[in-house]
Amino acid sequence: MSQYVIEVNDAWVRFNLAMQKPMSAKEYFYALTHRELLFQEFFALRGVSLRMQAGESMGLVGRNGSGKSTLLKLITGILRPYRGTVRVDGRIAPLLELGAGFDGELTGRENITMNGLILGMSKRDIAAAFDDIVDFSGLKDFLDVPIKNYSSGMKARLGFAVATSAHPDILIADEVLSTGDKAFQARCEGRIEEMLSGGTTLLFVSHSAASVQRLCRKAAWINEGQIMMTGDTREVLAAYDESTAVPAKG
Amino acid sequence: MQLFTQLGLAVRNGRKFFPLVQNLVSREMKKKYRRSILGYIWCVLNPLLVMLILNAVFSTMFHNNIENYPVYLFTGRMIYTFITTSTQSVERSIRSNGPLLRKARIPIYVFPLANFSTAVVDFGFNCVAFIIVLLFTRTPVSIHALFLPVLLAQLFTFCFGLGLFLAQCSARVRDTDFLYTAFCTAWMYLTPVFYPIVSLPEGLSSAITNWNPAYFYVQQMRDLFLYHQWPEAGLFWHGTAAALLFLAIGLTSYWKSRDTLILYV
Repeated sequence: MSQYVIEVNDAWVRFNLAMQKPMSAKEYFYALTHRELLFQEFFALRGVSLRMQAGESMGLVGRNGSGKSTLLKLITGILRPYRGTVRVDGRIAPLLELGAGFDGELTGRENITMNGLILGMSKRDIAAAFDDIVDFSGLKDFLDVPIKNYSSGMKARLGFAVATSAHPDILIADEVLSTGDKAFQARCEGRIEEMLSGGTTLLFVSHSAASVQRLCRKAAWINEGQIMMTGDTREVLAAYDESTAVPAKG
Repeated sequence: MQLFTQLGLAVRNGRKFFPLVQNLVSREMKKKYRRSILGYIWCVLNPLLVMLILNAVFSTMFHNNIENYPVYLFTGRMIYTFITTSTQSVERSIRSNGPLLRKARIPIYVFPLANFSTAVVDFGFNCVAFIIVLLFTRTPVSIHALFLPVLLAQLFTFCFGLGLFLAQCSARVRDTDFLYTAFCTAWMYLTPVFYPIVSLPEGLSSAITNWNPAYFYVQQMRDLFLYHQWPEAGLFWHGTAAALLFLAIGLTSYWKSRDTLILYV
C-alpha cells in the first residue's frame, strides 16, 4: 500500500495542436501524406512526477501554457499519460471550470442536477446536498429561472456550491476563484479551508500568490511541462517570482 | 482475466453514468418544446402533419398501384427518418460535446448514448402518430404486430452501431459530416419510402433488396402492419446481419479510438 493519494510518475502528456496555418497545395499534400494534417503532436508535460499525501494542500504555479491545467486534467483522468503512470486514491471533485456543462436554457434547479451528475455524483448525493447548495449559493429566489439570465457571479457561486458539496477526498481547483467578488472569494476560501481541516487533499492552481499562500502549505512550480521546484510554498513562490521578475519584453 | 476486470469496470461505470444519460435525454426533450404553446403535443402532431402533406403530394402519383397509401408512406417514412436522424444525431454527439469532455471526467460514450436515446424517444412519439394513422385509415392490426420488438431490436442495433462509427470519424475528420449528409440524400431516393419498389428497373431494385439495410427494415415494417404477413426469412436474416455487422464496426472503432478521441474534440 502506498501512503500517497496522488502519485504521478514520470508522466508525459501528448496534445494535438491542430494548427490552422495557411498552406500551399504542396504543403497540404505533404501534411496529408505524413498524417500531420489533423494531428500535430506536442508534449504538454515532459516527465512530471508529483506525490501528495492525504490532507496535503499544494499550489501549482507557473506561466500561462506551462502545463498546470494539463497536469490537473491528467490527475482528474480526463487525459491519459502517453508515458508514465498516474495513480489516484479517493473521490475527486474536479473544479476545472465552475459549472461545467451548465445549460443556459435550463433553470438553476435543473442545472444543479445536471452539473452534479456530470461531476459524478449520484442522484441521492445531489438530493442530500441540495439544501446546502442552495444555501451556499444564496440563489433561493432564482432557482426556477433559466441560468442564461444569471450574472456570471451567480453562475460561479452555483458551480462552486455544487462541486464542493460532493464531500470529495481530493479537490482539484483550476483558477476558479477569479470570477466573483471579494466576498465570494472569501466565502470559497473559507469553504476550502473547512474541507482541508476535514482531511480533504487540495491541488490548487491560481495566479494569485496570496490565495496560494493562504491555502497551500506546499507548492510546485511548473515550467514548459516540467516541474522546476517543489517544496514550501513561500520558497517556491519566491523562486517563481524571481524568474518572472526578469522583463520579458525588450 | 483482464478482459473481465475491464468489463466489470465498464459495467460499473455504465451504472454510474446511466442517470446522466437519462438527464441529458430529458433535457433535450424539455428544451425542444419549452416555450411553445402546444408543447409535447408537437411530438405527435408534427409527424402527422408531414404525413398529410406528403400524402397529398404523392398519392396523386402512386395512388393506383399502392393500396392503403397513407400507411405505406408512414411506415416507410417512420423507419427511414429514424435511421437518418438517429445516426446523424449520434454522429455529432462527440464533437459537439467537446468543451465538456475536456473539462469533466465523463466517459465519451455517454453522449452517443444520450443522443441515440433521445432519437428513440422521438421514435416512440412517432409510434403514437402511427397508431392514429392506423385508426383513421381503419387498418386492422393482426397478430403479426407481435414481431415488432424483433424488428426494433434490429433497427436500433443497426442505427447505434452506424452512428457510433460515424461519431468517432466525425470527431477526427469533419469531412465525415458532409459526406454522410450527401450519402443520406442518395439513400433516401434508394429506399422505397414514397414509391413502390416495382417501379424501379430490375437491376436497381434487386440491388436495393439485397444491399440496402433501410429497405430490410422498411419492408419488414410493412409486412407487419400493411401486408399482415411474417417477414420473409431472407429479409429477417439480412436485417439481423446488417445490424450485427454495424454494431461490431461501431464498437470496434470506438474501442480503438477511445483514448485518443479527447485529443481531437
